[in-house]
Amino acid sequence: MTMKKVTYRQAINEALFEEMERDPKVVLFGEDVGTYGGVFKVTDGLKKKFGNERVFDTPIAEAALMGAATGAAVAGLRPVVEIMFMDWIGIAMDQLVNQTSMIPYIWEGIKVPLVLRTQGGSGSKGSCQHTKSLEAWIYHVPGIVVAMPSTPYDAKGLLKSAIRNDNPVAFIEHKMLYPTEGEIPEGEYTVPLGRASVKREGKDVTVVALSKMVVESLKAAKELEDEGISVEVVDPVTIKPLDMDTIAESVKKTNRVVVVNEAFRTGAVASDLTAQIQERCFDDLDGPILRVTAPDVQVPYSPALEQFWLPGKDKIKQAVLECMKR
Amino acid sequence: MFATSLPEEKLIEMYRKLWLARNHELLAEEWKLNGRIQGSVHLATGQEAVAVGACSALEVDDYIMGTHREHAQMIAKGVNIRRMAAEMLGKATGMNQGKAGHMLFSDKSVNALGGCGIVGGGAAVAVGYAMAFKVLGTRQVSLVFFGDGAFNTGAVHEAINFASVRKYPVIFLCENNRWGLTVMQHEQTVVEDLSDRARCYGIPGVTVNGNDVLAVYEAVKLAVDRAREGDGPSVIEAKTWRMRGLAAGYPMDWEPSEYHEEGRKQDPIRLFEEKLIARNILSEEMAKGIEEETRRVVEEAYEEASQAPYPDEAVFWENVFAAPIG
Repeated sequence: MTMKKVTYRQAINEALFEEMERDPKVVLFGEDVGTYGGVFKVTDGLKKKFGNERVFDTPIAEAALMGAATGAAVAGLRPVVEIMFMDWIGIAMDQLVNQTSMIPYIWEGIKVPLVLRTQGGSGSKGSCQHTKSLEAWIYHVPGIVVAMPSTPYDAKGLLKSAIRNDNPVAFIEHKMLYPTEGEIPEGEYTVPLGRASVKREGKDVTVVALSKMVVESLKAAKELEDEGISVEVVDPVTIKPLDMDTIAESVKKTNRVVVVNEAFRTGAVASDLTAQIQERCFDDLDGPILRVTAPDVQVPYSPALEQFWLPGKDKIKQAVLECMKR
Repeated sequence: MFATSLPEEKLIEMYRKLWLARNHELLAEEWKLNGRIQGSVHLATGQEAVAVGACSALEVDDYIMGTHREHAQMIAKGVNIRRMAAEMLGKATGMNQGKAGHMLFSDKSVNALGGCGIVGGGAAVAVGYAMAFKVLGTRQVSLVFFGDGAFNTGAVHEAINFASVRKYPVIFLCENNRWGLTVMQHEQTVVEDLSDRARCYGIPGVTVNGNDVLAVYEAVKLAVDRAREGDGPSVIEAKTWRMRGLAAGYPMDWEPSEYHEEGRKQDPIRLFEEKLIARNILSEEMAKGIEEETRRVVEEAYEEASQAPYPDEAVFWENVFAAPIG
């Protein structure tokens, strides 16, 4: 297969182009996604290609966007709705929790085939209303698939699967990943929802990492290799439903686990993954599962302060070393 | 007001639906108070003309989104009364297999989609229905009922503004019974005629007597025609009177007696009946017959439902996700 190098941003953009071309029922809307092409330029060129009925800018009204995407999905479209920053999901949350996720269950299997695209993550000096990772909020509610790709390859293939899927899917991107590069096939491919991906094989410790933390974990693994520690990095890719089989298989081999999640520590997805792993893999574990997360502190602006908030390579390395000792 | 040239059969059908809805509410109240219906039951007793007038101006293909006080709205849209009664009792034969209950049920076969227990939560979903109709070019419209309380929520305003700017075929019908739960309209807003707010969004707004079924029909019909022609949404305020408290069994002794006196004077069924009799479309005997026939229909539906089985555990686990994921 011929491969090409693209950024995470381009990969998502290609997925949107291809799926809109493939299915006239796919529509895309959100704040500034049309003429301007999105504040991160992820939707660049789509309005020009597909016209103002299928790709359009909306008022700044997240509740209306989420509710309208839900209704449009019920009535026959396959909407891709963008909430520009995940920090603003609170405004849309009532619709997501009390309409989108409820409808298939309560209304006898009526399908709600929508994709909620949003992005979270810190490292942008965005202060605390443009940096949060609130995936745990959505993860908590039954009925929503939650995907958090870490590579251009996964981002493109997974978004195509998400758009074709008949369930509501929250597709959570990371703003600091947009310029990162990776290889993808020249032609058509998809990545299935609900399947984890082993990003690096190793035998001493399993690091289960989400989104940008996969990239940080791979950096940590590389440095730890020089210290003689072999780290396996598992990326769940889809956190709900979780591919526990792939994680369990890795734990069986390494017997040690670190879970990495760039989010407030209390009630983070990492906490739940930790619980799930110990329930399933207790007999395979040689020590406690450790978590690397952000602390329970708001995200401050100053570069000098933001670094205290951000989890990353060094904190992951530290946790792996600690894990090896116990 | 007989400005419309509605055929006599249609007028009689509207009269029958008023009675069907009224008799449903009377029986549901009785069954709630003697413990045969569980949970809360929000009655639309006295408000039936808003629902019947509005739905009489719609086609089966058109969608409605109701409120937490949805019984009359759904009956007016033509839901099967037997399956509705079973839903009210939480039975397997209910229109939503007993999962929805009294304020959330829906019936896809007549596009009654559906009730909404979050005050103001349904408007954006109805905008989504209309988005799909416009994109798919179907000439269908959607109509959302919401109360005066809901008209003070941000989500309703977001929805109206969004629909206005996109010219989506949706009718925003404010069923104003002057009560937002236990608090009267004048304590929640200083606006007297809530349709005045339509002006802020550059769309038509009109206030009608919601207990005059033909006045509601006329106003909704104009809005529907306009929406079908691609001229966008409208706001209609239908002022009505709640003959009961917030829900069945709630105390009403502290509610102003003038309000209830006026409500009794404006009983929508009596108002319509007088007009039909004056025009020789209906006789007193026919009226009595319709009142009794609809009562029998409701009683039989509830008796039959009370004999039906409860849903089993398989139903409990179904449709958390309505489609395969991986």
